[in-house]
Amino acid sequence: MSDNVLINQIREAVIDGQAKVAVAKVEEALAEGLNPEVILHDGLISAMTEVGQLFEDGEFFVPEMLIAARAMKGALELLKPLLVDQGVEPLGKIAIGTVKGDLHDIGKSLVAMMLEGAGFEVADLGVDVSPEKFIAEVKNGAQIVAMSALLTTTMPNMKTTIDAIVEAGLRSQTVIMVGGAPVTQAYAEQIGADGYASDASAAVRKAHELIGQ
Amino acid sequence: MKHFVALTCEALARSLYAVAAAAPHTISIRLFRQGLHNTPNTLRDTLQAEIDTIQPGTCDAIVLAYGMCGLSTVGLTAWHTPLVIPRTHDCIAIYLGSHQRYQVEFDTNPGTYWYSLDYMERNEAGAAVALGAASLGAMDGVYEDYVARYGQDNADYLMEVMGEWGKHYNRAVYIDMGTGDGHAYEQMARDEAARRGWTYERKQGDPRLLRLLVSGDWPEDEFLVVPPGNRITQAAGDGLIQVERVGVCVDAHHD
Repeated sequence: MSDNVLINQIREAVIDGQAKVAVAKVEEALAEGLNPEVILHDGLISAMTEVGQLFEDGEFFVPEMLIAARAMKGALELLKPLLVDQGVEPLGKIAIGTVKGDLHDIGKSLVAMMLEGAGFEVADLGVDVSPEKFIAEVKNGAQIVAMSALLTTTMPNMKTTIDAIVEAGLRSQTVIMVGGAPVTQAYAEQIGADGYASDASAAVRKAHELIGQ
Repeated sequence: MKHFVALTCEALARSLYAVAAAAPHTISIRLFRQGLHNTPNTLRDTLQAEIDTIQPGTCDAIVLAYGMCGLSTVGLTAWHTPLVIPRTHDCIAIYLGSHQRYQVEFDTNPGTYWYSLDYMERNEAGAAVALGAASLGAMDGVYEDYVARYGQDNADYLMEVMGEWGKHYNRAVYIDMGTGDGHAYEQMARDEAARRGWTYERKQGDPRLLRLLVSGDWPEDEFLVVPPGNRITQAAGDGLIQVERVGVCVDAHHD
């Protein structure tokens, strides 16, 4: 089978959220000697870019994005060790989490998977993430801290985290982006974040923009 | 004696009627369907449309028995009559009597479902539904739809991911506002807690914020008074909300 046909099948499987097909096709592509980096870029990242576009066009909603991201992740797991062996570097490292006190993770997890699908290395810290955990990730090399909050009750903890990063003397080492249902551009500016994204697709664009990729 | 028009959510109906009956002023209550906060733009548009029907000089203030409710009340504009709103996140703080009391509860146990008579008796989706964010029960009819659209494997995954947040919730609290007979509803909340394996607590509500709202005595740290020609905006620091001048001529709006 030609390389392009296989790559296209991987792409289609990811867009359609067919996790098992995506993994099987990546295995097949690797067995045929395709370059893992090409599979990553032309298969997975290209598919997730299309998924983001379909979301922005109003054709995809959260469930479609979630199953596509799941298919992408399964396929990516196969590629990761090979990419490391090849010395393929991620676009950058992002630490993402829902802020302290907030237990909601659907939006945050979707953003995390979309960022991973765009070629970033993502440390998903989960929900109820303390400022200390974010700080530890910055010390560990995270170039972007991405914080989510679903409630106005927990939004102030975004500022608390930013203040703690400043206090730790790490503010110049990281860029900070925020999002979540009650978060706005104006709020992001008020609390001193570097960027705001209104949805998972916009978050990918913002991450690219913030680290100049 | 002054005249206030009070706009309130059904979730606070009994409590507001009770304090309005004893208020030192004339209170005209206008009730809005609960659950509108699920789409904040809808709730905001609904409230603003009501505010806009109130003619200049017909009341001394429009008082809102609402919190921020997502960002539902952010953006509401006072054109000719002051708006007054408590500085709270949502109705739970109003039930509990203060922002501070709710904050302590939230910080101690964020994974709490709140129940009240006012909310449960008017809930169209079934009485044993808690206040606030999307209910766990809302996912019940979705599974078959997901199987049909995405296949069983993906449907199972979506149910797991979308229900994940509910697993972090571990406490049910029934708030007794001291109005009406809420025993049956309290029992429903208790049963729901038992069914889901949550701890259960009963707390006494406190109508003091509602009482202040209809009293005309609005302490600055607990209420925002929005003068004509201003709108409500979000504030990152203490106080949650603040006012911002509207960038158009007030008279022009009514021309």
